[in-house]
Amino acid sequence: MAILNQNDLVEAMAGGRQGRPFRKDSITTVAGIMYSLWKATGRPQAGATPTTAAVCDLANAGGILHTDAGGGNTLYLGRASFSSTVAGTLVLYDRLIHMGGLDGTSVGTQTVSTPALPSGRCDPNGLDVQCFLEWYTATGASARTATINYTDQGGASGTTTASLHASVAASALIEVVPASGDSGFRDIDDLTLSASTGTAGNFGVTLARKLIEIPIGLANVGGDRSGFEMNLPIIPADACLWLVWMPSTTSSGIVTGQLDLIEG
Amino acid sequence: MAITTKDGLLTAMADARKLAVYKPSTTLGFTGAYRSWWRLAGIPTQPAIPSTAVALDNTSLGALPFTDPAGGQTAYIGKVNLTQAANGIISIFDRLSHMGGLVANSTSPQTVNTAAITRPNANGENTQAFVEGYTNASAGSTTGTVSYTNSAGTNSRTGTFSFDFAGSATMFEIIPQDGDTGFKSVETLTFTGANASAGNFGVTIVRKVCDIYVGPDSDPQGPMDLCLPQVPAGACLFLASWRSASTSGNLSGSIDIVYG
Repeated sequence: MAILNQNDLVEAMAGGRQGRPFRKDSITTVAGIMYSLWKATGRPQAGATPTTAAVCDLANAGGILHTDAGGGNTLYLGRASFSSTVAGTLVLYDRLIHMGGLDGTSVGTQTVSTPALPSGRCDPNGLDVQCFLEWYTATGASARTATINYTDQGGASGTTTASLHASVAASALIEVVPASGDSGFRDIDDLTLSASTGTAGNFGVTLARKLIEIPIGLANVGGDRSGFEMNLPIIPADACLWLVWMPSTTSSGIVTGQLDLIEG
Repeated sequence: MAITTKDGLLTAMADARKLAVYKPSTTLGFTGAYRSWWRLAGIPTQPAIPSTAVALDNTSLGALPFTDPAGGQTAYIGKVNLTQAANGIISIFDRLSHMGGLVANSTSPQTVNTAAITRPNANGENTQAFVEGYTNASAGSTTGTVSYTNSAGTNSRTGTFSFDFAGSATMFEIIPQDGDTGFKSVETLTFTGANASAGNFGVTIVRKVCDIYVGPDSDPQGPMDLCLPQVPAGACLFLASWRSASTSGNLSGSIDIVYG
């Protein structure tokens, strides 16, 4: 089933919902760089640092815990409220696949080998899938270039690069932009650094599909969005709801709010 | 029954019951924590500081005067129209269970033993728990832990919190253990560091009904904006503010309950 008309929507809203509060403790940031709240403490608790590539799902610690829709229904984000003690933009993703253990000193080809995209959670060819390099432990002071080999949305091999700034910190995200003409990622094969950053650290590759972006223009003020304002995003079965922060200053602040999930 | 159609919603809206709210301006406490309006004078009336653990309902002093739905009906928040000088998020909570009398000058485990919750069931799924201040101790901050039973019925779980001893009227959230989605009960609380003064603090278990953005010129939010949050029979509705400024300004307006 799905919400197909106004009566369905009213029934879904009135039929009870999952109110899922979240609160993530502040992490250190640099304005203009995206940060993952995967490892931030709070509710949900910090996620584990991944090793080999694996599909993420709603059982992963670090994602906002929730329950799939029952009885053939579809789950939607019916409302969201949010605030932070600093200004910034909160982004909610479905974290599809992640891996860790990449070495900031290795100059050889490092295997990534992401598994197949999880069925039903994104375009099957990866058209709407974004790729990030995600830091779990800081790498070194030397800025480097990473070359990434991947399979594009058409099933063809592709190669692109991502710039690693100096001293990339834990929780930082660097988006991997697909090569010209490509519009998504079906899988990531491997990664090679141009030279050592100076410190091994620990970073990995994360594939995700964006659900919503919520600007928080003023510290502590926050706001709310109705399902209409968010275009009633579908939360696919097994989704791993992952919070990402685009900071305006040197910390994420305490990020808090609630997702109200409805089904119909 | 429940509201299942647009026509049903319109019928319910036409018979909404309005709950008036007025609270005088107050200090908003600590960044990153809620300012509880529970003990603030105004409308609804100021209740006493709790002592022994009790479950609360819509007859408890301090609760918004919510009337249970008639047989077979369901109650919803149909509209919120609140204004205050400070921009910020105000949360409407169902206050399920609370207690007071915890002291800050002890690092020994203190008995909490919250009263059993009943809304919408006894499990505590999606509830939040807070350490709530009633009387300040001396200045200073610490952390602490609680032992609790989660919504799956597993006991001896450990929740953590950060706390300010001068946090009168402030609600410091207790973070549940990994994998837990609610608090069925809280058994004990332990402060990591002691304060020179006792103060008076308690543990409160709530379920959030909805958050709303409120400011000096905030627009009313209707049923589709609010996603028609259900209000369980017996709900003890109260307000809390996410700190956005040093003072709130007078909070006034109304909350409409619709039935269908």
